Amino acid sequence: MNPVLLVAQREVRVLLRARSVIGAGALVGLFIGATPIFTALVTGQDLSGLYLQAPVLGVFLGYLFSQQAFLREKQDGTIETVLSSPLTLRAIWAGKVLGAGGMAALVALLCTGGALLAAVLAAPIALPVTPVLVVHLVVVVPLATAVAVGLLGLVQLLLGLRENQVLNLALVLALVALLSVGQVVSGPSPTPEAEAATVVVLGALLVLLARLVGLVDRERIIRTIA
Amino acid sequence: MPQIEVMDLAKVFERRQVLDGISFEIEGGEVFGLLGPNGAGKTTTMRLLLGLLRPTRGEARVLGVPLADHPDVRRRVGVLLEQSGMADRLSARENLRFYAALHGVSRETVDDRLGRAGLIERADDLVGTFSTGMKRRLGLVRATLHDPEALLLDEPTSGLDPAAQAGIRDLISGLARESGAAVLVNSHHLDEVERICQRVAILDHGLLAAIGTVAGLRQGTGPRRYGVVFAGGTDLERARGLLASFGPVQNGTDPGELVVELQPGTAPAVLLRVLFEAGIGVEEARYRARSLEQVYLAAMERGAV
Repeated sequence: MNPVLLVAQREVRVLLRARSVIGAGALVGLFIGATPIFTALVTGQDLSGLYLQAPVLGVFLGYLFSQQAFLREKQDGTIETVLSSPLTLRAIWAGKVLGAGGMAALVALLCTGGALLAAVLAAPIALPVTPVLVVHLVVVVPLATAVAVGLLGLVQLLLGLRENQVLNLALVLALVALLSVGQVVSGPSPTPEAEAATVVVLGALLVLLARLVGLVDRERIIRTIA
Repeated sequence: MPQIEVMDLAKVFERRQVLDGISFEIEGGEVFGLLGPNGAGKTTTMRLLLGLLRPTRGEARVLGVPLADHPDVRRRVGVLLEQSGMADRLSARENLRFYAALHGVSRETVDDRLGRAGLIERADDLVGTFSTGMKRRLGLVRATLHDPEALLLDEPTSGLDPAAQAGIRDLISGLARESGAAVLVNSHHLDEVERICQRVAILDHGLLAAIGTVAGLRQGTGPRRYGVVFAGGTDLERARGLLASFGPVQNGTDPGELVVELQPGTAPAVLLRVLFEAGIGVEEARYRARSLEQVYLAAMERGAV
């Protein structure tokens, strides 16, 4: 099996056993996931809030899960053994991004979908299923989540525990602010062009992060182990 | 060609000299012990060999290359660090299968090794529920799963009961003997090193305080320990006074024994003649090799070689 997939599989298994993290993630997911639906129900507006809510949820869950994937491994020292294996640092990072990011995106989409289903069953809210919405949920949300996990993972590898505690939350808020600005620029219901541009920007960010990981010094990781 | 090479290796952390120009080589089939107190530089040496740290000076090579730049060569190296390197939220089998897949080892081999380590009954239990000793055993199974050509072990028996320690010592010796692997063992358990290592280096404050075969180090190059067992009823204080003219005298381990440190060039026959002329009966007299502990303590006092 491809080493990246091997690492991703390991991360998914570890996360599935971290019930408290999954539980916290599901609670956050249901709360944030339900927000645009309640807003639509109360104000009688459409569900355009979904375009911002879903990736924001992915980013928050990415924050929760990245701590399990990267920071936990540094705290308990297993990162030294993983770094001594035949895996390259980039393969380790990519596998963790795929595993933790994939799980975060999946939980985000399940929570969003669950809230939508509940809303459709409870009240007559129109759900305009357009190609743009499908691309948004299937491509933009996982990509935004992956960028969040990748960025946080890189920072967690580079910094010590205390610095991470401060900087990680700041980074999450910065990413959410960035997504909000993006939506303000593209309007409440993005055009196909705006979605395409978002996909390109997020993809480029992910490639840039992968390149940066290749430049990380292993010594830096070892010396910031808790 | 040596399978593990450390050449004039030095490491400075934030102006603190952690290692200062140590050198040694380990051949295939050899078990080499790195001894020293906490903070002597043993773990730093291992991390430098693994390519987890960059040397400030010198070179650390495993199987002919610096491991930092050769992930493909890391496939032929086994590692057990201070932490056993297992994810607590995965089972023993899941953990091993992950590393087995990285090294191209079959799932059948995983179960076989779990069985040999006496862990097959707990194979599907989460590692987080394991005792320290079980984690250590599992870590050693992981490190040796792919029959490595070079094996680096940091305190391999820490946290283990005496029976498990003996099992791991046998495993390490067997691996070096049968597969020809070069084994580096970091330890501060002198008896363990003495039992399994052919050669030993003693580190102190980042300096090489002693290096050589276990037998050679015990023999030493300075004063030689000569033990004299006296006949019953001998006035030991009078005998001690006579021996003191040859060198420092200590009580020996046997009843009625005194041990004197003879300076090089002093023949034991001279000492025995003095005792004989004084009318003191000797039952037994022979050279006493120093224990590795004595070698270690002497090296700590003496400093760098």
